[in-house]
Amino acid sequence: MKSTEDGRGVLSAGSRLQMAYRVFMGAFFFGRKGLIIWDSWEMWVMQIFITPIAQMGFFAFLSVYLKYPLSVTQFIVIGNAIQSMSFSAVFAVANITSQDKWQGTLPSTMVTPANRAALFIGRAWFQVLLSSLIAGAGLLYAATIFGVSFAQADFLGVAVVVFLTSIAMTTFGLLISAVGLYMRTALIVANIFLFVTMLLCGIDFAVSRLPIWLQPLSWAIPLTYGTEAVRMAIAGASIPALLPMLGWEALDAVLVMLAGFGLFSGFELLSRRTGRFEEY
Amino acid sequence: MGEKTTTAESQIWAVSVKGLTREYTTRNFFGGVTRTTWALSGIDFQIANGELFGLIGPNGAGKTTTIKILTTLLTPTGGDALILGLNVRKDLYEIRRRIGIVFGGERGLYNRVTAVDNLRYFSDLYGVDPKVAKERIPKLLEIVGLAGREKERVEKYSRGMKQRLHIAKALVHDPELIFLDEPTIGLDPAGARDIRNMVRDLKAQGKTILLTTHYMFEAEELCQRVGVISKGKIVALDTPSELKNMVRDISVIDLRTYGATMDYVEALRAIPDVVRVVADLESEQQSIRIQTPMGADLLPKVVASLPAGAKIIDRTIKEPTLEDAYLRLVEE
Repeated sequence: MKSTEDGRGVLSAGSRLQMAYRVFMGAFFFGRKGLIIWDSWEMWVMQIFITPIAQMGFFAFLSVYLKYPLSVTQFIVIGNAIQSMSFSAVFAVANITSQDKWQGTLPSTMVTPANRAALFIGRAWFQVLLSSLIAGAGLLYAATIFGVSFAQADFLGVAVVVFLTSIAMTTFGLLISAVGLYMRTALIVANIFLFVTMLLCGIDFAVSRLPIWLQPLSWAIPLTYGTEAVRMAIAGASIPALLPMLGWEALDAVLVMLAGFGLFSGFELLSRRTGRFEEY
Repeated sequence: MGEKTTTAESQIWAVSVKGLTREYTTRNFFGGVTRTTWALSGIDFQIANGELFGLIGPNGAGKTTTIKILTTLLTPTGGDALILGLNVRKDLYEIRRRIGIVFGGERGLYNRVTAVDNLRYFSDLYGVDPKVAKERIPKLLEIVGLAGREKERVEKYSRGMKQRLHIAKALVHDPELIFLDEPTIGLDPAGARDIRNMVRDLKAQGKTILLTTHYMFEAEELCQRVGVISKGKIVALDTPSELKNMVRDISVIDLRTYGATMDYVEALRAIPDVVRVVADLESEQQSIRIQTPMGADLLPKVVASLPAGAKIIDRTIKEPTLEDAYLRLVEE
């Protein structure tokens, strides 16, 4: 350790970067076990295989009951297959900081020198993988149970869209999670957000059906791009054709991530000033 | 910073606190101040490198607020504090690398995972080299007596085991300065004794330690110097023996009684030569501590005040302890 320090015991930039990497990896592996409350095999099976079918089934049968044409029902089914990742990507991730608060581990965590960006992002990264699996299971149901044709689909395109959308939605989870650093819980905000995505992200009806003044808000949420892009990929659009949509989604995700980290840092400062780390 | 601290000074003092103040302000919806509470009102103290320093005081006196400020969890509203020569307002990163903290109580550990997982995670957060962590974690588990139980989920641990894990967690990055915030609170006598032995071992290894505690005998037994904090102010700071000298004019009568009530305690307080009476009346057998300059000469009056049906099971006349000095200090 000494060789990485200057005469005053201050770490070099390279050593700090190395430490940040350790924090990221530690947080990645530990986040799932220590901070996601539904971390067990039974819960995973339920999340991956039951959540999407329950959600898709509800909206598909509602569509059938309302006598919508098959194409509309399939539009709804695909939208809900993607949206079903929100529970894992947004709700679970939003709960991470609140979990730290409830377990009384937030002061122990915040008193470490851990790089905050690595900690903030690392703890949620596992949920990206889980969210991809949930949406993947949803699309499998779309093909096998709801009769959505994947004959023309660009499977690589579908996979890229699902993965990118998982990342993008997780950044929203992180943004909401930052609120939990200061407020007693972020779950109410997460709940509101889940319903907002149902309304605004082109899940059950096209964004163009929304009032014009609401549409810009739709395009501020990465899920809107993801939903649109996955429908395009299933219809046969290749990755180059999807790039504009994916580019906007990635940009949106980066902006949300930066906003989330800014909020996290700001709330850390505020909590130090007001002594709210232990309020739960 | 009002005053520059020299390198020589920071080599002597691991902790240097000057005029440290913390106020909490409650505001109404419109931003107006409705109430200001002073948790710390300009405290001063220093802790030498390698010293085991105690901070004692009643609930709400400011002990935990002091620890929170010194460990960078809370910003002070006035004054300065230097930790290993680093400023608690500015040098957060460097301070955090070099200190460890043990919070009292059961909270503060990840209960759904094992002890090893907890220690590995905090090793990562402190940036400990994985090779070093791999060697250090089993040693720490051995030291705190959790070897063999390290792969059990923490939620299955007893309170004492959790507290020992807290200590291992605080040591995972080999800090120079350790803050122990009521580390024996709620532990059974054997568990508390184990923790005190660990604290002694840490001191023997040359660690600087700031210990807060409610238990006076613990401070007396462990600490080289003790600061008494009351209502946000340090009201005394000295070695335990010097603090005890403050009450050498009195003796202590310890009674164990059966059937004593609050009326009896009030009757004792009314005796002219009684300085102070502290009673625990909760149990079937009550313990009553009487401070008096009269010593054994007071006993006839003590017995005479006993109500009908009550009896003294045991009585001891002692030299005053740190607790007696503490009681005088916090009540003055």
